[in-house]
Amino acid sequence: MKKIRNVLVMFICAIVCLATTVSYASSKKTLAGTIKCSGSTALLPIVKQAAEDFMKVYPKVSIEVTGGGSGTGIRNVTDGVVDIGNSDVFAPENSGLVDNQIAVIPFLFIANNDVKVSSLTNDQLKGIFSGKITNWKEVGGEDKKIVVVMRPASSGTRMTIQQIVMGKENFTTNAIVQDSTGSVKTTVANTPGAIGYIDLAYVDSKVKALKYNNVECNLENVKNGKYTLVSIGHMYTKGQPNELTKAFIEYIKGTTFQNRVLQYYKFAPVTKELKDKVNKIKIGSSSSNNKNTIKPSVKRKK
Amino acid sequence: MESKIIRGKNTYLTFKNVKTAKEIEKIIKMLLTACAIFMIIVIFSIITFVSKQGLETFKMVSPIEYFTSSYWSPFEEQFGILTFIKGTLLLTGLSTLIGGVLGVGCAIFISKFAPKFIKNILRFTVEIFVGIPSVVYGYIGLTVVVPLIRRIFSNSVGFGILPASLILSVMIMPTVITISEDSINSVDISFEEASYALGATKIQTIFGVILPCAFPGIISSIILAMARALGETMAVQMVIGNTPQLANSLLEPTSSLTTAIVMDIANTEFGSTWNNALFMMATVLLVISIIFILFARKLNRRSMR
Amino acid sequence: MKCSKLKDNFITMLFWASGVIIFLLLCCFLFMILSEGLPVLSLDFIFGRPEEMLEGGGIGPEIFNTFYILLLSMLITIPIGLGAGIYLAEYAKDNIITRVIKLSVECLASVPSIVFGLFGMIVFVVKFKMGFSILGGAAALSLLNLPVMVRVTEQAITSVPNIYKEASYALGTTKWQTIYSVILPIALPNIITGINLIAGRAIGESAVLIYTAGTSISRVFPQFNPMAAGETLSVHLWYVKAIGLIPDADRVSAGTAAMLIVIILIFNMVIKLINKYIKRNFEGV
Repeated sequence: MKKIRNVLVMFICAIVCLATTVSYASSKKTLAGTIKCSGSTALLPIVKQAAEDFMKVYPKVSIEVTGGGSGTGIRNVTDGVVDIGNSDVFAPENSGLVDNQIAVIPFLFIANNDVKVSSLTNDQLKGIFSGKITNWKEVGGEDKKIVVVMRPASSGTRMTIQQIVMGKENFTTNAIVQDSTGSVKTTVANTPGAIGYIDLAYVDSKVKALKYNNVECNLENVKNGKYTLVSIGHMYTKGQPNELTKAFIEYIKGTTFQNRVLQYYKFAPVTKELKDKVNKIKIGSSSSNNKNTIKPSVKRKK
Repeated sequence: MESKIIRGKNTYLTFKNVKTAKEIEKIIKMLLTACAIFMIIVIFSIITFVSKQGLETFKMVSPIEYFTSSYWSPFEEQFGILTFIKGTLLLTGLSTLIGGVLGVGCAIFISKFAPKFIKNILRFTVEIFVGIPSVVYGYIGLTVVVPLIRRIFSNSVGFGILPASLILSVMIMPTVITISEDSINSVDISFEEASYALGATKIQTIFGVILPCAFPGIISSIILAMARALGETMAVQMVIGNTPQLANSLLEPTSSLTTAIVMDIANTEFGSTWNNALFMMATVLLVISIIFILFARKLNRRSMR
Repeated sequence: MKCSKLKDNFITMLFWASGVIIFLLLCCFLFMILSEGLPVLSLDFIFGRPEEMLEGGGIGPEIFNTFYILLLSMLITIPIGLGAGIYLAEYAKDNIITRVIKLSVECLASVPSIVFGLFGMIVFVVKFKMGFSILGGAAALSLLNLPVMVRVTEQAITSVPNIYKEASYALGTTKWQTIYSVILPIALPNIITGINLIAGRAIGESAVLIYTAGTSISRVFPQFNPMAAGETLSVHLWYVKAIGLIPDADRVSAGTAAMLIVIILIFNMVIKLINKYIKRNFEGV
C-alpha cells in the first residue's frame, strides 16, 4: 500500500516538475555553449543526470562531466581547465573559489550480511576503525573477526569520517583499502565479517546497513537532523560563474532538481538548518587536524 | 627461402636516376630522424617529469628513511616505502614465474606440438585476451579468486599477494605467448632440419637448437611481461588489499608500489610532499625495471656465448 | 636410450599440460565474461544512449568513442613509432646514447598508466588547453603506446636475418630501398602482431582516459568533434562498476565487457586478413 502511494507521489512530482521545467525553459531558450565539470566521484552520477536534464531543456548547451576525485576537481577549476569543480570536501580557504553547496550526501556503515549486529555507536565505530576492537563479539555480536574495509587516505569520504567519527583517533593500518565505492561494496558483500562505509545511494540488499547511534540512515532522519553522518557536495567555480554556468548551478539548486532527482538518488536537499548543522560538525572537530594540507616540517620520530 | 625476396616488390629497380634515389634517401633519413627525436623528447619528458617531481620528496624526507622505513602514514608525515617495494618485488617475481613458465611452455606447445586446429583456437583465445580491460580482471579476482582462496586457506581474508599474482600471471600470459611464439617460429627451419638429420629427438631439438636460437625473443617477451606486471594497477589494487603493512605471508593483505600510487595520487595536492612521495615511487618503479632489464640482458649475452 | 625416450615423453606431456592449462584458464575467463554479457547484447543496448537513473541504458556513444580514440591514437602512434623504430634499428649508431634510449623505451612500460594519465592531464588538458577531450585522450594514449610500438618495430627489424639485407645491398640498392622493399615486408607480420597488441591495450585502457578524455558522452551522436569529451567502453565499464548508480549496473557492465571482447574479436579478424594479404603479396604462395 505504501509502495503504491510512493509511486503515486513520485509520479505527481514528476509531472509538476516537467511542467515547471518546460515553462522555465520556454522563457530562456537562448543559452548556448559548453560547460565542463570535473571532480568528486560521489557527486558524479547526480551531476551527470543534471547535465542530461539540462541539455534536454537547452538544445544548444553541452555539458561535459568528468570524475577524477575531489582533489582533481578543485585543482582543475583553479587551473581554469573546467568551469565547475565538484568536491565533497571543503576547498582550502585561501583558494579563492566560490562555493555552491548543492547536496547533502548521507553515508553509512555497512557490514557483510552474515553479521548479526545491526547498530553501532560512535565509540564502537571509533574502536573498530582504529583497530582496538577486532572481534564482533566485543560489540555484541557473534565470535567473528572484523575485517575493516576503507577508502584511501586521500578520499573525501574518509576525511569526513575522520572528522565526524574518529576525531583525533587514527585509522588502523590493518585494513583492506579499496579505491572506489563500488569496490568497497563488493568487498564487504563478499568478505565474511567485513565492515565498511559507503554513500546511502549505493546501499542495496547485498550488504547490511548498520544504524549509527541507533538511528537508521534514511532521508527522513537526515532531513530532520537526527542522522548526522553526512557530508556536503560542493560545486566550486573560479570567481563568479558566467551566465551559462550560473544557470546550470541554479538549475541544480532549484526545487525541481533538489526534490525530484536528488531524492531519487537518496541524497538530501541542502536546507539552511542542515547546512548550519554540518558546518558546525566540521568546525567542532576539525580544529585539531586540518587533514587537507600537510605541513612541510621535517620533524620525525627517532 | 631466397626466392621470397625476388618475389617481393622490386621497387628499387625502377629508380632510373641514381640522384633521385639519393635525394629520397636523404629525405627519408630526415623523416626517420625526426620521428626518433620526437620519441626521445616524449620519453625523456615523461621520465624527467616523474623523477623531478619525485626527487622533490627529499627536500622534506630523508632518502634513507624513505627507502628503509616501512612505516607509511602521510598524515603523520611518515613516508617509508619499504613495504611497497617488497610487495612489488614479490608480486612481480611470482607472477612472472607463473606466467613465464606456463606461457613459454604454451608457446612451444602451440608452435611445435599442437595439431593445427588446436593451434588456431589457442592462438585466437590468446589474442582476445590482450584487450580485456584490467577492470574486468580485477572484478573476476575480487568475486571469484579471493573467495576461492579464502575457502582453501581458512584463516586468511583472501586478499594478498597470492590472488594478485594469480590474476596478474593470467594478464601477462598473452604477451609471453604471442611474442615468444613469434620468435620460436622465426628460428630458421634449416637448423631444425639439421638437428633432426643428426638423429636428435624432437625434445632434444627443442632444447638443443630451437630454444637457444629463440632465447633473445623469449627473454624480451618475458621482459615485456615483467614490465607490464610491474606497472599493472587497476586489477591488482582490487585484490591485494592495499594495506600499508609488511606481509608475513602471501595471504596477508599488503600493498605494492603501483597500488599505493593509484590510491592517492589523483586526490592529493600536486606539489605536496605526499604527492611527491608518490611520484618518487613511480621513479623507483622505473629504476627497478631498469635493473631487471639490465639483468635480463646480461643473462641473454651469457647464453649467446 | 629407453630412459631418454621416457624423458622425452614426459617433457612432451608437460608441454601439452601447459597448453591445456592455459586453454582451460582462458576459456574459464571467457565463459565468466561472456555467459553474463552476451545475452545483454541487443540492438537497443549496442546503439542506445546510456542512462543515469533508469534501467535499460545502452552503450552506443561509448562504442563510437572507443573507435574514434583508437583511430586517432593509432594515427599518432603508428607512423612515429614505426619511424623511430626503423631509425633505432637501422640508422642509429651503436653508442651509449642509443643504448640509453633503448633502455628507457623498455622501462617505460613499467610506469603505471595512471601516471601517464596525470602527465597527459597536465600537458594536454591543462597546458595545451585541450580540456577533457577525445583528442587529449588519444594523445595521452599515444604516450602510453609509443614506447611499445618503437620497441616492437625495432625488435621485428633486428630479427630479420642479415643475409637478406646483404643480398639486397649486393644488388646496389640504397639503404632505404633495402629497408622498404626487403626488410619491412619480412618484418611486417611481427610488426602487425605488435600493432594488434597495442590496439588491444588501447581499447582496454581506462586509467589514462579517465583523466584525459573524461567520463561523459556528448549530446550528439556520432560526435566527430575531437575537442568534445568522450567516454570509451572501458571507462564506462569502470564507471558503472565503481561509481554508477543505475539499478542494472551488473547487466550493463557484463554487456560492456562482452562488447569489448566482440570488438577485439572483429579487430583480430581484420588484422588476420591484412596479414594474409601481405603474406600473399610479398612472399608468394
